[in-house]
Amino acid sequence: MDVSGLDSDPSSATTENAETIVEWNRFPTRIVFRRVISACLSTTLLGLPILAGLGWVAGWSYSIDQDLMVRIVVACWLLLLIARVVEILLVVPKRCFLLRSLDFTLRTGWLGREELIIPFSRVQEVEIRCSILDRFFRLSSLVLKQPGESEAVKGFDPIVCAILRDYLARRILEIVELDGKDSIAVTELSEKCSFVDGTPYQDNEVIPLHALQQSAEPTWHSFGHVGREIFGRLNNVWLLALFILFVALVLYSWFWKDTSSLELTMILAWGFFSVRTLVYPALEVPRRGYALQESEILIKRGLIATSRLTIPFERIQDVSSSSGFIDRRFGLSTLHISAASSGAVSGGFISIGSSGSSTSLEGLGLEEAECLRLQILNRVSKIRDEGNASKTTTEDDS
Amino acid sequence: MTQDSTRGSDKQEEVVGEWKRTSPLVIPLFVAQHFKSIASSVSSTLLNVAGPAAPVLLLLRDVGLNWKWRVLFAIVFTFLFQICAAIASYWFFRYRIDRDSVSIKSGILAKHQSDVPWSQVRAVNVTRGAIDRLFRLGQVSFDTAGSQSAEIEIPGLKLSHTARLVEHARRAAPEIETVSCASSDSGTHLESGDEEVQSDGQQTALFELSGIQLWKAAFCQGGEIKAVAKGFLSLAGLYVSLRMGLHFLIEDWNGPFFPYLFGWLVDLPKDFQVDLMRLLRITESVFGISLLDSQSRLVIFFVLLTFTIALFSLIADRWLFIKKNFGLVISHDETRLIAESGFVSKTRITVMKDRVQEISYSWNLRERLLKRGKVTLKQSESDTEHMLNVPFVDTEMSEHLAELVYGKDALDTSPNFNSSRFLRISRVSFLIDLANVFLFWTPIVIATGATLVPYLRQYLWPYALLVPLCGVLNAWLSWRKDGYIVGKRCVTRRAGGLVGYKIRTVRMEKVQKITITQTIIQRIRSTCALNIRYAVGSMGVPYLELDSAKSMRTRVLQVVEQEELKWT
Repeated sequence: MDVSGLDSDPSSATTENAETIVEWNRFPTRIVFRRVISACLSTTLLGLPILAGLGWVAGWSYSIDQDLMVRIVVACWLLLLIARVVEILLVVPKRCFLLRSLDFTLRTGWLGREELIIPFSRVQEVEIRCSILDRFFRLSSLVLKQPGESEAVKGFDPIVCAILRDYLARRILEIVELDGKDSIAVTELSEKCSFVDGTPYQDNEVIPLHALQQSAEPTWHSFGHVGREIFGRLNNVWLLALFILFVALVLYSWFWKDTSSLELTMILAWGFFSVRTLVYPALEVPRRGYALQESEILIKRGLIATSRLTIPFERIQDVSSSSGFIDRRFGLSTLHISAASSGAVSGGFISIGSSGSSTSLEGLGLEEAECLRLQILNRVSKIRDEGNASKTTTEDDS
Repeated sequence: MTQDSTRGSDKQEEVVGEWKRTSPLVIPLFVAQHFKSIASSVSSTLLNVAGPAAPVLLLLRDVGLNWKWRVLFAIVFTFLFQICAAIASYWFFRYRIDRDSVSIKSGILAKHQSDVPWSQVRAVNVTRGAIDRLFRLGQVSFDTAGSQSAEIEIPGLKLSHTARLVEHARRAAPEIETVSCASSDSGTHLESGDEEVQSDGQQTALFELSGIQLWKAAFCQGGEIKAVAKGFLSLAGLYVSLRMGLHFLIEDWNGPFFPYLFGWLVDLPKDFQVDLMRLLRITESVFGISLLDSQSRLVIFFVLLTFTIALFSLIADRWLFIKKNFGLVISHDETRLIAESGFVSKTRITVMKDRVQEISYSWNLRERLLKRGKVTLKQSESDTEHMLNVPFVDTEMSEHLAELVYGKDALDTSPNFNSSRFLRISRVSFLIDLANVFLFWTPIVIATGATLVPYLRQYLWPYALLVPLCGVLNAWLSWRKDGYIVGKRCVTRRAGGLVGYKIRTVRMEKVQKITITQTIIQRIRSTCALNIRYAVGSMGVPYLELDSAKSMRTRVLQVVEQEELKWT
């Protein structure tokens, strides 16, 4: 079945060669409200200061009265806001996706259209993320991590997102096992398919969502150490104090001049951020967990904004552990798991607890870290051996 | 599970086994690496120098020594301390070769252990520096796709042991793309008496850049405007540092803290005017030419000053280029392209043919005149250490390089700018660009320019006419130069601006994701834009027929699925 349906009705698109009707899956309507609120916040918090800056420059250059300039800036901000909201109302409901046996397709656009295809064979890790706004609207984002730039698809229902994550993790392994078994030789393929004719993308069946089931919740093992986490963040508290001191000095010296309430403001601000910095680990660390499945490792973390990462064992490139001086006092170690994916995500997210291509499990006990490291390495080599054995059998058969 | 044992050099001959230390002969290497890491950042230098020095200075405070002696003691102690730290880091560095993985342990206070399964090793490199060659040692590094640098580096292995380790890696990981042997000294084959580490094959020299060709290549480099800007910025940076230094040296802190801390910054423009007048007076007294009396002389003075700064900056820039590319030799073997160059210290960059994501060939104005261009080969990691830049290459050589890397697949494409195989982009693309120029860019550029530089408003009409004229010219030339070739296994795109040309070629199997985009006009005309994204960039073909784009997308996805490569 070929990838098609572009420039046609999203709900029932006819393919290029076959007469099969493709049922596109839609995103929940709640995503529209979530995106509207997100647009309002970003236009106000980011767009308004930029417009104010531009207005200040224009006012200085053309000697425009300040009140008039303020009105112009506010009018521009309102226009921008309305334009973004209208765009969201028109574009977001048209988003839909298609799940097939070999790739994931995302279609967006209202007047214009965009169809993005990500082959599963290129996906290294799968992550589910849920921001504060997402949780409020009961939504989740699916991040498909690849080398180069990864793709964040926002606005799934959490259950659908979990089903997709399970399916993707399974498919990645299946595709690896199938390598060399079902595929046609490349040279043979080149002869068979002509660019002009556009030979169908064979064996790529559409997978209906209702045919998939969410796997049972795994048994989570907790990781992280509250005391160590707080200790590690103490540096941030002192840096924060210095930063607040600097900002307060600048503000009071340039704008308010009166320094009588300077100390109180600084202490209150520092106290608030310090408590937040120190209390957060106490609430967040107990919610962290990892689970070793048959073919992948799952890692969850986060208190309000949460993330659940799936790393198939087949994709793990190397495992390392480190234990600093303070870690050793606490009897702790950190395990780093590297895959060939990139930290950059096109959706603009910053991954929680994952930098570049490495994912860290902090605050594991020394023995637990060593045991986990060995288990991961064993499973990686086991999967590899199975893959090689399967390939050898196929070659013998042929 | 682990056994700490290093006794007996005979045991080191065993490849598979227990935790081992490397040869003590590489302690100087550990010392050098330790000092290099200390100097890697300002914070690291401060921490590593101030840490040991502070207690010494504190202890010697009341001894009655002169401050110079105290500082000298602190320096000597810090130096010895760091030497001891480097020796300790050697002592705690151990490696282990197992049936399933290769591991290292390191760290004095902070412990680190790294394990790489053999199945994930993509490249094994053997490197030999001067110390290694002197003592018949070698450094083996194992690279995976996990990060840009090698995940595991084991220095100071005996040459015989190195060879056995490489052989073991080959047996344990049959999918290793390459086993490369390199030396930090140029042109040295990894050989020592009767012991030799096997390399994949003989290297054949392809291209050399030296003598007059190197000077011509330096001339072609361009970047004059950047060099001038860099020169002025450096000068400005020096002046600001000088003013700040003078402020804190001369003025005492008597009043409020904040004005003392930032007051000099507020006075900077005024100080600059005073210093400029001082410079003019000094010039007058030295050369005997009165500059302040004549406006034209003043203009000539500043033009000459700018010219001098630009010249110095350009000479520095060209010197860096010549230093980097001095004696550049490109050679190849079955799996790799190797570039060796450098004036005093030689640099060797190895590019794995299988890992090349994109080959590009570009010409600027001067390169067009001399009919030579620059070839760039990007691997999955796009930093300079993994990228091969070959300057001053003619079209035939660039074709040859592409063929060496992509094999027969390269025959589908062409790095020749004038090739008739390039398909032109639709005229609609040019019309859309024109609309963009008139409706979007022209108003934005005119408004921004006239707002930021009020002087331009006096000549608004010429300025307002010039902007769209430049835009139209650029759009027309870009459209004329734009083109693409879709081969069986490669996609090539030709693009250009006012004077330059650039051709990029990507193999379909490297594609990570693929997008078809339609604007409202494209939907009416049943056309679309196709964009393929790979690990180090993306390539788009605008205004393809929708059916052709879909066929092309299907073909790319087919090629991706047939490849057994897991990530590239």
